[in-house]
Amino acid sequence: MDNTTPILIMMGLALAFTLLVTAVTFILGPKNPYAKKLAPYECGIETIDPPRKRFPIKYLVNGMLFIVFDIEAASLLPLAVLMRRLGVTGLLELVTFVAILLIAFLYVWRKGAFTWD
Amino acid sequence: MNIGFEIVHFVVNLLFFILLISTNAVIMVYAERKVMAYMQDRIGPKHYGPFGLLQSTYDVMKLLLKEIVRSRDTDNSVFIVAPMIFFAPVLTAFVMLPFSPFVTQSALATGLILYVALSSLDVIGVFMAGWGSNNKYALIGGLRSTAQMISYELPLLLALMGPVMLTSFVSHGGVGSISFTDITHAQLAPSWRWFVLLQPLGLMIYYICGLAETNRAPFDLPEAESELVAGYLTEYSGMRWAMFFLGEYGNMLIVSAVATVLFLGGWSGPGADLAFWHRTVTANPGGIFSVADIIFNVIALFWFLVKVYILQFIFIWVRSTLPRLRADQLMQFAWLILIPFTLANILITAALLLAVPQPYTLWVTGIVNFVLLAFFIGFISRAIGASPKGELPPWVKMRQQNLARQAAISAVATPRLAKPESEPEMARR
Amino acid sequence: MPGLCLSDTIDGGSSPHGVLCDRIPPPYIHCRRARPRRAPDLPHLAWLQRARGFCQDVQKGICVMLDLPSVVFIVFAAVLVGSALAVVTLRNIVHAALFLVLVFGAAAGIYVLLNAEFIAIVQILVYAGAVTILILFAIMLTQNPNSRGSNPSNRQTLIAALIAVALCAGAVFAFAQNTSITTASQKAISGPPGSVVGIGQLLYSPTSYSYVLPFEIASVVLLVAIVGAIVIGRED
Repeated sequence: MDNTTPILIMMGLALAFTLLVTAVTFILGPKNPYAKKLAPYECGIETIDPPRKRFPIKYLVNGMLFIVFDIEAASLLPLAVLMRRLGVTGLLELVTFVAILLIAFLYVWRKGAFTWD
Repeated sequence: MNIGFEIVHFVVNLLFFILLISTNAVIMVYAERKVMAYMQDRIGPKHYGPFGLLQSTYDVMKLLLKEIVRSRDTDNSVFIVAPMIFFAPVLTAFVMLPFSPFVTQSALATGLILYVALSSLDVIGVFMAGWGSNNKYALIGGLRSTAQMISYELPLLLALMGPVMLTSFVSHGGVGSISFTDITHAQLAPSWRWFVLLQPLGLMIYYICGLAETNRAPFDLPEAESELVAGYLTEYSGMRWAMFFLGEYGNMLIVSAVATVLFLGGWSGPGADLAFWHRTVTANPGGIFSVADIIFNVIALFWFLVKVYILQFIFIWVRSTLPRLRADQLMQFAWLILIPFTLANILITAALLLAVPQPYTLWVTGIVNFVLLAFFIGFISRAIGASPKGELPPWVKMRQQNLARQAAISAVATPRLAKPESEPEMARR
Repeated sequence: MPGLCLSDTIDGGSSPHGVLCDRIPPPYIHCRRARPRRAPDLPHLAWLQRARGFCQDVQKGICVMLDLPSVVFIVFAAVLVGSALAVVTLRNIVHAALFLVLVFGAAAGIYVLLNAEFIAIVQILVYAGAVTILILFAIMLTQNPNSRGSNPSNRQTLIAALIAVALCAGAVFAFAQNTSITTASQKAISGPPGSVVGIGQLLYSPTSYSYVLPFEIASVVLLVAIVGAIVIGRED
């Protein structure tokens, strides 16, 4: 059994655990649904609008920035692991990489992507 | 290594994980209510069992007996699968945490980034819950929560770079590791050096991001009761809701455990360290069969859990202390304060570790990082406008003075403006 | 052209590139330190060698490998193909986007089977965790309150199926004909299992043949991506 197999087993077991617990409460719990109970929650009144509406583009921009910086962080990790072996060269690579992304960061800041209303 | 031992190892660990994740939720719910009650000068739960100790056990039983309601408009498949997607990564993340040398299921070479990847899978579960419920509050809460969790994942990952670089510097060949087991050992051998002494700023930022990742106060905006009911949990009930609940408390445990492993030396502590240094026991889980090994593992587990529960106590403490942030403050805090600080931390740490000559390297790095931490705290307290003395920051005071002066001027220029506009005048118009 | 041959100083010895070098045709052999090929000492890859030995017996027939990793591979491949089909065919676009998570997860599983743990986890982190969320945000941006028929298909199913079959046949043909692809990939996976270190040395180490420049250029690409994101998200 190598190191990655338990992860898969554990994920499967977690799904099974969720199903089991839900099944138990399905058997034990009461079941008396009626129309008012099954209505979507809206502080006791009828829902007037369809809930799924357009969402602000801020979320999308946030998501895009997240991907970019996520890739950055993921690619910095191998660099950090080898920091001492790479020495000054590694530091220079790190500084260059972060500096280029810092330009992007400042641009985004100036364009006001971080100001949420 | 024989297969029988592997299976025993796996089963023991699995039972431990499931036991831990469920008892942790029970303990934490009780502790949260009791601690917050004492902090707010109340008594808290007291009726069931001595000191109300059985309160949360009864809560669990009540949850098991609840009806599972699924509202009329839900998107069935997404709604049902969401709790599983939320809960599965939480339980999976336990696999690579080194609770003690024996209670480590997988000494995965890439444990650290797998932890981050699993916590990013949680985000999908939150989104599915919000979208599948087909309810305004759930959807808004789900999307806000998603945006918040992905924003705080970045500084979280970047804050973990510090310990990784340190493992590279304390190792012999200059090759570090992102395996949790190796990081624990790096803080023990050859001497006692927990990375919190070298990277206090990293721990601070990691912990803040952990608060945000688990949607805890003061970042519990997606579940702001007063505006969004219960966020993405609005339509959930009974055990399905409890899966989210269990997942959230499990997440708190994992955040604390990862902080323990990376910064607080993992299972190291008086007793465990001594055994590790003197090699009276092997760190290899294959050697569990002697009595000394079992005692060593119990001591190691004890220290690990002590550290984890101290960190979880801080979760509660923070919740009862700090008010909730606004949506814009939340995003700006992640992007404009935490990310620049983590990047600066990485650059400064790397530069110092390379530049300072050998015997002083770690000392200088640690001291500079403590200075950075002080600067960080000072910066935040300026940014949120609260100084330690409870006095208002200068620009707020200036604005108040200006307002007062304008009020005085307008009062002098138009004396009794409101009074003469009396009813006869209005009537004539 | 010495640069073509990857230097074998990576990780001090057990690199796959020493093996790769003697596959390169004669004019390009400039490997200073090409070592004799030796069997990889990786116990969890033994199944591959066993399977290959089994295949050599069969030679022209269909090679059947049914040990555990092969079964796992088949499961992952089935999940991958099935959920990819679901992404294309499901009527509800949010469901389609959520099945993408499964696609990426199954792909990550196949990476793990190829002994590329780090890549697999980054696949989950970036694709399953981030790209899917981005797609979901993009869907939330568009206006379709009902979302039941939000992923309509058009009338060109037949042509699409033909093109897909042709592409698949081409790929299978190429892999069947050109043995160098398959042998090279089988060689490549016998690399060092400490994949973070291996990737780090390939990407950043100045002493070996490294991808320092492409890495720095990647940061420029990310910069362009950020500018693009801001241009799209402009509110004026």
